[in-house]
Amino acid sequence: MGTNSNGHKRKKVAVMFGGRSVEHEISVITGLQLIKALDPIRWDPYPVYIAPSGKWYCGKKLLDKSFYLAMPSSLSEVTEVTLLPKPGVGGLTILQDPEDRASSVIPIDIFLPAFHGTYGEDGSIQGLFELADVTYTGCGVLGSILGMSKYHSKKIVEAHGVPVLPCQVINRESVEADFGKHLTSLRDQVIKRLGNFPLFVKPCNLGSSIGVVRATCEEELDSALLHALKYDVAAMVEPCLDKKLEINVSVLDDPLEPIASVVEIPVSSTGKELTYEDKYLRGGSKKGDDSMQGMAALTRVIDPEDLDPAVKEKARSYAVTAFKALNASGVSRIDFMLDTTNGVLYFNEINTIPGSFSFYLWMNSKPPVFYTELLNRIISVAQTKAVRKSSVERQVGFKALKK
Amino acid sequence: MFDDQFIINLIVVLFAACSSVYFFTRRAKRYMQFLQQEDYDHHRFKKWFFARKAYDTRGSLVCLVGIAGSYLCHNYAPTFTPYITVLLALLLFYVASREENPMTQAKVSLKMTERAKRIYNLALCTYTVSLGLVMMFSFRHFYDYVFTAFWIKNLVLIQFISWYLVKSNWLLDPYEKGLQENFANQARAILKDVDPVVIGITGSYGKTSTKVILADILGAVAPTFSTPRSINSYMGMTREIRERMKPGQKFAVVEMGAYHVGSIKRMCSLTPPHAAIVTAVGEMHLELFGSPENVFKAKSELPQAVPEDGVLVVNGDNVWTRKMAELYPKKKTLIYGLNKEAGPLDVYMYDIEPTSKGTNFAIKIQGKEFQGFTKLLGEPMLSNILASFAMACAMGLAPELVLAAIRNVKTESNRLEPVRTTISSFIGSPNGRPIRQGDILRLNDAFNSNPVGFRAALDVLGSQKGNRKVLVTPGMVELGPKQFDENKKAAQHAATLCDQAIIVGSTNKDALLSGLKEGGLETEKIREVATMKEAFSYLAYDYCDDGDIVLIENDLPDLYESNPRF
Repeated sequence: MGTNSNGHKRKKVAVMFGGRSVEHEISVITGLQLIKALDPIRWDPYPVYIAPSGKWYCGKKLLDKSFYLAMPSSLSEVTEVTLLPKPGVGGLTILQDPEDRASSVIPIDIFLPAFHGTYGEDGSIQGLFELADVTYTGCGVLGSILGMSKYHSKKIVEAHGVPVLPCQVINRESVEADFGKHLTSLRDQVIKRLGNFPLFVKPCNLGSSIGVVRATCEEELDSALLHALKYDVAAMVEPCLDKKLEINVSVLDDPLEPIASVVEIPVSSTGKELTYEDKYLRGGSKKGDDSMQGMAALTRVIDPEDLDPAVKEKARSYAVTAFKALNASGVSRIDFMLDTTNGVLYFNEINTIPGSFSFYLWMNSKPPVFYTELLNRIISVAQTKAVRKSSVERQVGFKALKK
Repeated sequence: MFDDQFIINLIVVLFAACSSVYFFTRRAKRYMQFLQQEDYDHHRFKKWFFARKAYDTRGSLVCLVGIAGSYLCHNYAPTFTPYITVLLALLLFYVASREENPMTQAKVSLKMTERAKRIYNLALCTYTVSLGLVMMFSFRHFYDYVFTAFWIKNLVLIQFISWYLVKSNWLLDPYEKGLQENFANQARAILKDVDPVVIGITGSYGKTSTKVILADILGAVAPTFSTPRSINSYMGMTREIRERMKPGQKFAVVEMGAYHVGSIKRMCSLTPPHAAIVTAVGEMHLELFGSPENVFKAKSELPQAVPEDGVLVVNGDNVWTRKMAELYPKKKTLIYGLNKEAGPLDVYMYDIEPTSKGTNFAIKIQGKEFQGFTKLLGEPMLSNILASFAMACAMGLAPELVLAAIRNVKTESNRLEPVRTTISSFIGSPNGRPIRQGDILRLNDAFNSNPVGFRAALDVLGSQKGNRKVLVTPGMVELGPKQFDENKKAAQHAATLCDQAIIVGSTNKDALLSGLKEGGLETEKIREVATMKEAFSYLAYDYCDDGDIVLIENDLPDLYESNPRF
C-alpha cells in the first residue's frame, strides 16, 4: 500500500466485477485481466466481486481464478461488504453480524466498474455511485442506460445523422396478455412493418449474443420472440442483411475530443452471426494465458488491409458521433454493420463497458495506447469529472419551509 | 503403579489412538458420501455396503501388522514393542492422509450439509469415546499385552466405522423428522401465500423432462415455479419452496417421486395439486415396490389428490395410466398418445418425422390440427412434449404459443438431444496421444434409463445418418429381478445397429456382454471400461472419426459405477 517513489500516496482503486447478469463470468475475466494491467506505481487495485446472488465481497482470494470454481464454499473466505447510498462514507462498509456493531469502512478512492450487462452496465450501479457521491470510471447514469437499450441508443444516434436499420420492439407484457393469445397478431405486425424474412430477434437490453436468433419463417419468428423474451422484458426485431460485415471501433474519452481506435472485423466460426461461444469460448488462447481470455480471445482481424479506407474512416467518425450523442464516457466499443451490397454503414450497438475494455484495439492503434495507459486515462477522466461535479451547487438551504 | 514404562506405554497408545481418530475423520466422510447418495436411508446404504463389499482393508491391514508385530515383539524383544506401535500409528496417519476427498473428487460429491455434519460429529464423538474405553480396557485387563490388545480392538473399530455413521443417523432420525416437519410447515405457509396453480407430475419415467418442458412453456406467459434437476421428494420440495418460491408466481410445476406407497400422498399434503400429469407406470424401481400393481397404487395417489373440478392429463399409450383416467375422472380429463390402437385419444401426435436437427410432427386436439417441430428426438421425449402441450392448452394457453415454446425447448441437458460437436468435446484423461480431429453427432440420453427409453434411444441412433454408430452405456439399474434380462434384451437390440459398444462399469457387464454377443456384435467391437471418463478418453484419443454418432445411454452416479476401495 502506502506511497510510491514520487512520494504520492497510491490511490486505492476498487475494481468491481461479476454482477447479476448473464455475462457474469465474462465480467470476472475482464476484471481479473484489468487488475494485472493497472499501473502498480499509481494505483493500488482492490478486487470487489458481486456474486450472482447480488452480494458484494472483497478480499485477496478474489484474485485467484480457482476461487470462482469453488463457490459457494469459498465465499466463506472473503468479506461481505456494501456501498452505502450516502455521501461521505469514504469507501466500502464491511457487513457484519448484528451482534458485532463495530462495522468498519475499507477506504476506496476510485470505483472502477468492470461489469457487463444488467445492473452493472445499465446505470443501476452508476446510480448508487451517484448517491454515494464517489468517483467512478466510465459512463454516468444517462450514458449507461442509453447504451444498454438497443432501441433507444439507435433512435438517438439516428437523430445525429448516423444510419440505423429499422426495428420493431415487442414487449413481454403484450405476449403474456391473455396467456399468449396475441402472439400471432404481434408477429404479423412485425412482418408487416419490417418486410421479408430472414429477420433478427434479440433481447432489447442485452449484449453477448445471448438470446439472439435469426428467424426465416413465421413459426421461427414466434419461437425467436419467446426465446428473446426469456432474457429480457422487451425483444427487438430487425431485418437481416443478406451480405454484411461487422465492424467494431473503440472510442476513448479525451479532454478535447474523443478519439477512435482502429477498426476490427470479428470472425465467426460458422460464417454467420457471432455466437456466445465465438465471443468467449473459442479463441486461440492457450490455457492459463489469462491476458487472452474473454473478448480478447475472439478470432478477429484488426485494421484489415483489404477494407476500403473510406469505410474505416466513416466507421471511426460515426463512432465518435455516437459516443458523444449517447453521453458516453471512459472507453466504449461501438459496433457497426456494413451492407456490402451498397456500402451503407449502420450503427448497431454501443458497449459502454466493452469486454476486456477493448485494449486489443488500442494497442494496435496509431499511436498505440497500451492497456496500462488506457486505464490511466480512463481513471484520470473519472477524477476530472468528479472534481467538476463537486463544483456544482446541490443545496439552496431551507427556504420554502420557512414561509 | 505409575512407573516410567507405564507412562511411555500410555503416551504411545494415546498417539496410536490419535491416528485411529484421524483415520476415522477421513474414512467416515467417504462412507458419508454414499450414505448421502442413498438419501440417508440406512437400509439402502447397508445394501450398497454389502453388495460392494465396502469393508475396510487399508486400515485393517495396518492393524493386523500391529497385532502380529506387537505380539511377536513382546515375546522376543519386549523393549521394542512401543516403537512398533509408534511406527504403525505413523503408517496409519499416512494411509488416512491418502484417502480420497469425497468433497472434491467424485461425480456426485459429498456436501457437508447441516444434517451431514450432525451425523458425522455424533459418529466422531461416539467413535472417540469407544476408543477411550478400548484403551482403558486394554490397560486394565491386558496390561502385559497392551499394544496387541489395542490393535485388535482398533481393528474392530475401524471395521465398524460405517456402523457408527448408520447408528448416528438412526439416533438423529427423530430429531431430523421434527426439524423437517417444521420446515415443511413453513413451505406450506409460503405456498398458501403465493397461491399458484399447482401442477403435479409423476410417472415411472419422463416426469423430469415433462416438468422441464411444461415449466418452460408456462414461463413464456407467466412467472412459473418449478424445481431444478430431478428434485421430487418431500424434503427436496420443502427446501425449494422455502428458498425459491417468489410472490407473483402463477404456476408451480412440481415433480412428485414415488419412493413407496404413500409418498406421493404425503407430497400432495405439501403441494395440493389443482392439476396432474401421469406419464407412465412402468417397470422402473420395481426393487422399491415389488409389483407393477403397487407402482400403480403409488402413482394413483396423484390423480386422487386432484379435486373434481381439476385437470387430469394421462398417457393413453400406457395401459395403467389409461386406467387412471377411467377411475379418477375430473372436470377436464385429457388422454394423450402417439398410438391410436390403444383406445380413443383427446390429444394425438402423428406424422412424426425425425431429422438430424430434431423432429417434425403434427398434433390433433379437439378437432384442430397443428404442425410443430422440436429439437428433441425419440418417442418417449415426444410423448413428454405432447403431455406438456395438452396441459398447457388445458391451462388456457394459446396452442400457437405453446408450439412456439416447444420449438425452443431444450431439456435440462442429457435427455436425448442431438448435439453436433467436435470429438474434443469428450473430456477424458489425456493419455499422451493427440485428440482426434473431426465432428460427431452426440446423443446424450444420460439420465436414469429404463427399458422403453433405452429402446427408443437405440431407435433414434439407428435412424440417424452418419459414419459409425457407437453406444456407450453402463446399462439400466433398479429393475429388480428383471434387471439382467432387460439389459440383455436392450443389448441384443443394440448389437443389430451399433458398430461399437462400450460397456461402463461392472454393474450390468455380464448382461450387456451376453446380449451384445448373442445379437451378433463381434468381440473386438465390444470394449469394457471402468468409468465414463475412461470411455470418453477412448473415444477422444483412440476411436472417433469425423461423422461418427455416439449415443451415451444412462450415466450412473458413483454409487453404481465405481468400485470404491476402502
